[in-house]
Amino acid sequence: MRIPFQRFPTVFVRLTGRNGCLREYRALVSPATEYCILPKVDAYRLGYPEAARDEPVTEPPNLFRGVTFNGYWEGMLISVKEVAIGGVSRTNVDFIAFDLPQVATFDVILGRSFLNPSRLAIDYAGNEIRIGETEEKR
Amino acid sequence: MPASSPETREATFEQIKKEHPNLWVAVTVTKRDENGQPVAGKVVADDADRYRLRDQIIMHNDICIFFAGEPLYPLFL
Amino acid sequence: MRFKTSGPLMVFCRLVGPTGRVREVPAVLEPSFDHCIVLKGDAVQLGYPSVTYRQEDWQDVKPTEVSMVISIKGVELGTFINLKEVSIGALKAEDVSAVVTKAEFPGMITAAAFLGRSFLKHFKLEVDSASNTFTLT
Repeated sequence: MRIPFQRFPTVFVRLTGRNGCLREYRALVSPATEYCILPKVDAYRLGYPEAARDEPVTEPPNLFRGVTFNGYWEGMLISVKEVAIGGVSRTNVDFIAFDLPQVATFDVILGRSFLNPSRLAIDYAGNEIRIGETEEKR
Repeated sequence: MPASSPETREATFEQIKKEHPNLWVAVTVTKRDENGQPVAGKVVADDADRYRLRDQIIMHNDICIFFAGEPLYPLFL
Repeated sequence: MRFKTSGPLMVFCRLVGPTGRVREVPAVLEPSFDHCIVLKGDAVQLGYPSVTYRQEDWQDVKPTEVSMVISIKGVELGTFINLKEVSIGALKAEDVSAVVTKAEFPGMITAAAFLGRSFLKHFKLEVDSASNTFTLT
């Protein structure tokens, strides 16, 4: 599957939630990111109430702490029923419900929890992403 | 764009980006390419705030959401 | 060039400053970053004294070298520098833009640099998670 991009490697990805609700987003493809990220409000809408941290005292079991170059951040770990880019589809993909800054203009980041075990190529000269199944899966 | 007057005209995503610049847009997809990537759709709602947009599309079970623009500053996500 | 990975795309890279000084540091490849990020200490030693100033102050002196940058934690100011050369083995790129931010990297991060699009745009990156390798050509 070859998908062109302009500035950032992005694809449109379809998420199907636990309640059958479907949401499609323009997602940033980031093989350097361990987990995928999704806004909390959408995680809730897709049928994952555990995305809301409504208990301020006890630490919930699905609390996730991440580290980035300028500090630590927290989100809630959920497992999205199905995630698909065209013909490439995965079930029970780990996402972190976390609100990226709105000024970033992206709601969703696709990390290794979705990209594994695919083969991904980012060709900056050709401005193209290639996503395909690995040899074993073929 | 008020939720009570949804657009019914199909437009390509390039046209949608030109007509709704720097806004979060919710679209029902009508056409896809060979990779399953959306190429055309009908705009259901748009807003400068991603949360207000969600309030406008709460009744939709299958919708595409994206920002019709580029980040203003360099990105390090 | 093919590398093994257990998760993060980590390599050793050589950063060269305008004075010719070299720092060889572990770096993470970040295709979703617009520019590279380097530590303030390394930038100073490589020959970029402007990074020692507060971004708010340096913005008044050289407004083109300071800009807002967007990260997962929000928006902050960063000082931009142009690394004379960045190389991973035989793969070299010249005049690579990089950012130095206020905060130092958290202790958990073992890398001393992040290589973003300003470096990666010269190459093609392939990640094969089945064999836990990635290739840069």
